[in-house]
Amino acid sequence: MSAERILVCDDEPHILHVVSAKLRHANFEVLTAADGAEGLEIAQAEIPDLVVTDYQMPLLSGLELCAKMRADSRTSHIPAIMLTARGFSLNEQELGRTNIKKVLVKPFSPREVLSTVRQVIEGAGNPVASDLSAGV
Amino acid sequence: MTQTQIKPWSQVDDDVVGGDAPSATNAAPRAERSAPGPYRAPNVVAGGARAYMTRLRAVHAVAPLIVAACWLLLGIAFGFWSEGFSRMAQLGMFTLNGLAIAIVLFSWRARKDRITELRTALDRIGRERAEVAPPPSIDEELKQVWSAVEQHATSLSGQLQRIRSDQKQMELALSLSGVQKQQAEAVLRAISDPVLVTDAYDQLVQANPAAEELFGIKGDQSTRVPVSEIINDEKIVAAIRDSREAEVRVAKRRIELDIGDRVFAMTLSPIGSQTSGGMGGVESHGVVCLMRDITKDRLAARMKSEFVAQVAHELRTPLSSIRAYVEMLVDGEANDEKTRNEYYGIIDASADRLGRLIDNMLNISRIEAGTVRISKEAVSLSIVAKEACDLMRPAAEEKNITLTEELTPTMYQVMADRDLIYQAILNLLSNAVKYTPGGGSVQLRMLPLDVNKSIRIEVTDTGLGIPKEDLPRMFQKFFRVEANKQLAKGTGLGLNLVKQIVETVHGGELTLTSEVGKGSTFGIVLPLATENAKG
Repeated sequence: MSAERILVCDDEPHILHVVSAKLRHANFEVLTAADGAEGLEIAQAEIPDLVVTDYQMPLLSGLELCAKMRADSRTSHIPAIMLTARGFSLNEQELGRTNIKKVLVKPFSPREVLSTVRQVIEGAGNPVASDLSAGV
Repeated sequence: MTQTQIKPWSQVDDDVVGGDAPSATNAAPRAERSAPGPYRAPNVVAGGARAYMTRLRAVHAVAPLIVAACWLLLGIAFGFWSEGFSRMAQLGMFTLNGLAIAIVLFSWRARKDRITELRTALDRIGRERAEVAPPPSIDEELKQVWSAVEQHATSLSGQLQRIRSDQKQMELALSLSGVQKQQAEAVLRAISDPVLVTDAYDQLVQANPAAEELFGIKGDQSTRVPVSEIINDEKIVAAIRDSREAEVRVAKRRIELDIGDRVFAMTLSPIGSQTSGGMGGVESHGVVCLMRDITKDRLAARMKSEFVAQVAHELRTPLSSIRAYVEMLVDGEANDEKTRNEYYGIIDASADRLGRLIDNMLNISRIEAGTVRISKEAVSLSIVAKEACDLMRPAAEEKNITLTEELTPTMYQVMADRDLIYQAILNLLSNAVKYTPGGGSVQLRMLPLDVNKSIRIEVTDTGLGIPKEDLPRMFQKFFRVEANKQLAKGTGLGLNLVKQIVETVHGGELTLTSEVGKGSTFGIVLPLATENAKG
């Protein structure tokens, strides 16, 4: 299971860097974007297999990015994992408009990100519904 | 005789003059034993002094006449039936008759005089309420009448005094309760929060002007109308009803209401009094509803919660980096020395950033609480400004922003806390770089003012600019320009900290001019240190 393309979206260069490094070391092909708008652009152009995105980003938030991807027929099938430093959970309604399969809370563990990425890619199409509102 | 029938003695006398003589014969006093009728003790207090006097006087007026008439008729009859008696005997009889009549008349006259004296004396008691001695002429029987009347008069006088004192107290209480009512109404009117008062039937008794305005109650509507007809909010009506009907009436209840775009906390206090039945029973007279506008409290709470969330986010970001890179190192994901050194550097920088964030927040909090430790010394502003520019230069270059500085000679010094002033200048520069799109410019300029009495540091950018309506709120804590939020992250604390440092700590002035699409200029004006101050 290699060469799946994963788009990582975060406005924090260090986070972007570390997540990309972890995934690359695990033989994933990684695309990066520094804000939501750029992320949407790359997603629509490259059609990655999975998106890992931050929640709070300039221009377009992670939630808006995922909602726009879901609404676009080209990208509507792409699952997403959200990393958030927000102090409260995302509501079901907001998540329902997206393809977000899992929410990880910052500070996160790169190991956990990798295992979640694998889990989502293996079970693509089966939403990890019980984990959706896990954001703290 | 009830209290309301009390009359002055003189009036009693008048009544007696026109009194009903016939009934008097049925209740003759001991003074006239010859008259028929049952004996009644002269307990005038029980029977009433007035009635007794009426009877007494009537008997005195009529009884002697009846006796005289009887004697006369007896004499004539005797003369008529005793034809056989001699003329001498008849003459003797008539003489005796005449004599008897004269005696009776004399006795009647004397008695009448004594009663008149008694009446006059009693009148004096009534009129003057004085200690009056009984007339010496009256006999033992009338003396008893006298003492009974005197006793009754004393009792009546006491009653009268008590009634007068009660009346005075009631008048006083009445005027006092009028004043208290006026005061209570004035207090109610003066309360700026809406207040409603309802009665035992949930009818509106009173509404102060604030409540009238809130519920659109017209002045003429505001009394004794069911509250449900005036207030179109079932929650309030139900709360009033529940509060009134509740078992434990001493307890206040509090509900929160959204009315229009305002939020109110409504406190309902039942008006109750202990029932005479005891056992803690309480009778309900109604409910007082006091409403407090908590819109601002809610807003403050929301802002605080948003701030905490923002701060948590800001703190978690560098913490995430630290945790993630440490884990990478532990997991051996950094294969070569160069990568390891890169990771160490990132961890170090993130820890620094975390520290700065915490410092920023603590500084604001300390300045606000007045507990910040300030060490003022003569500081050369040019040096501090240069350091701040140097620190910001990499970030500016990364965004392709030209950062220029125009500094005054280092001899221009201010009495300042070096670290805090550095922080203020850095915050202005950092904001300028953050909110200026790539390719723009940021300029730091210093110029002496007021014939070298103060100095001005200006940070001008070619950034997004601030909408006019947002200018007054720019230095408020947590405030961020909505339109510019997308461009950069922030806690909404930076400018507030600058203002606190410049104005609260250093007694300077922070200025701002801005135009949307063209850019902004922030200015710090500080008094220059005098030679004496430099020590």
